[in-house]
Amino acid sequence: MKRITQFVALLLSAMAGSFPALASSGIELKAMVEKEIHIINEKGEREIQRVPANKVIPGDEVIYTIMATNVGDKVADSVLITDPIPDHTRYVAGTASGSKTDIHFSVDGGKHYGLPGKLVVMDANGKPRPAKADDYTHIRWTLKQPLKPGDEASVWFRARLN
Amino acid sequence: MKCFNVKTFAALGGGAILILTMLQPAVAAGTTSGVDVDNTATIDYKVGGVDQTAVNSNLATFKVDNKVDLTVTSNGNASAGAPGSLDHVLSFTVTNTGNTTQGYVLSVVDAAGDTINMDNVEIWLDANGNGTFESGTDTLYSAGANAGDILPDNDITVFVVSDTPISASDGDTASYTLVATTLNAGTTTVTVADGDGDDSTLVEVVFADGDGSTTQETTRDGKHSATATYTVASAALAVNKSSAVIADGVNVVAPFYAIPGATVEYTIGITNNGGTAATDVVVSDPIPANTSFVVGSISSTPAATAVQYSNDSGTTWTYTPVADGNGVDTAVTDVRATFLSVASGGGTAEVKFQVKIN
Repeated sequence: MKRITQFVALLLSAMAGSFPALASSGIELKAMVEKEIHIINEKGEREIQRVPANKVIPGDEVIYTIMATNVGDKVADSVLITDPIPDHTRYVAGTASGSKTDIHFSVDGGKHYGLPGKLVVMDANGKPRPAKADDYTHIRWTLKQPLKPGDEASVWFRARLN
Repeated sequence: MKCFNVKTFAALGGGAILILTMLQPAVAAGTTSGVDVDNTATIDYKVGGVDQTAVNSNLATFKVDNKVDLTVTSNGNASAGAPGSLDHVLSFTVTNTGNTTQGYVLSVVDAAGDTINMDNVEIWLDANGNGTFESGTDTLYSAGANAGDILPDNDITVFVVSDTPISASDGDTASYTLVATTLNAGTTTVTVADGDGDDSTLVEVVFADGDGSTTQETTRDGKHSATATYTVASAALAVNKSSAVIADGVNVVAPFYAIPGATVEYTIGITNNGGTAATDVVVSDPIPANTSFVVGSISSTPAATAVQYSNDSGTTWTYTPVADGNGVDTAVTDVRATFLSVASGGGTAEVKFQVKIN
């Protein structure tokens, strides 16, 4: 029985090794996109379920989850997780979150980042105006604490399909 | 699809800030089905104060599915004209508000709550897209056919064309519902919504249409409809006839009596209570038995376009009266006056003529 467990552990590490980009680094980053569906459960109650974003039509909201894991043996600090708002979608205001993170947004394709109230874009007449959630191109989460070996950090945001 | 408007200006703080405004296309139908929406996150970090190579996440992706959405709208109610008139048009617009090119099958259904049915109800497609029905240019739609594929956010104009039955009356109504059902593009196969079977690699069909508030369809069934109403706008003529003895050859002042030799004046009043002017209105009246027509006594308000006489009880109207010694022509059997038009909504016409009692 113990042998089998060891074998499985070996096999898993071998599988992990088939992703060289991840194996060569101390941090592993996974991204996932889901959506919420409303169902009636067995008790006849309304319930919200999260399912993979397989059936998505314009107007639907999807939830992106990005999970960083320190799979190395050294402490990672100054950790920044950056995610562009995907093409064909718009960021849903107020939905970016992540525990013990500072969150900044970009309206210029990721060149500069700022807090929501400080961002400015040009309107159709070339005049500056405060940026709206629709204007965001990127989100950046800054972890306030180092990511120690074995630690995980997850961040989220929602976007609506145009 | 996206348009980038890039502007650079010197910020007050000194450094140049690049401002980028994304102008989203104004497409109501949204992202086209089949598009893959991809996302890759990146992580930057340091170890011992030394920058490490940034790490990318896996690709988080989904395929945009087929949002089936359509609207049928009426472009307004229409007059059905007068009874027996032809080719009255109800115009509808069928819009693909989904994100995928679709075909449409059309049907026209008699709606409840009206008073008559029209004759020869047909569906026509506005072939030249000018919004006006032209029987020589537009296409008669045949039942069950694909009315033509419509791109997302595009529309077609559809005409319901029919004839007004001769039995119709002023104010009668006839309502029709145009129903459009979504087809797979280029086919006559009705589009079917996918069940719960999710597949991130396939374009799945999701019905997202509203309820057209007719009895023909409901929400999320791939169908939409709208109802419009014809109203018969006919003339409705009322006739009133009165007579008065205006002289009896004996008394100098009224009252006069209907004695032989007395003159009687008839007044025939026409009132059009309908919604449409009556044209070429002919008022005819036989000369009563035992009386004779007073030559030259016809008058009309407004002026009649023709005053005619018959000496054969109305078979022909070419007789010219000739006064005898009493000012009458005993050969006249009928008189008639023609009015160009009697206006709708209470327009009137009046004819007066005199006879002498034999």
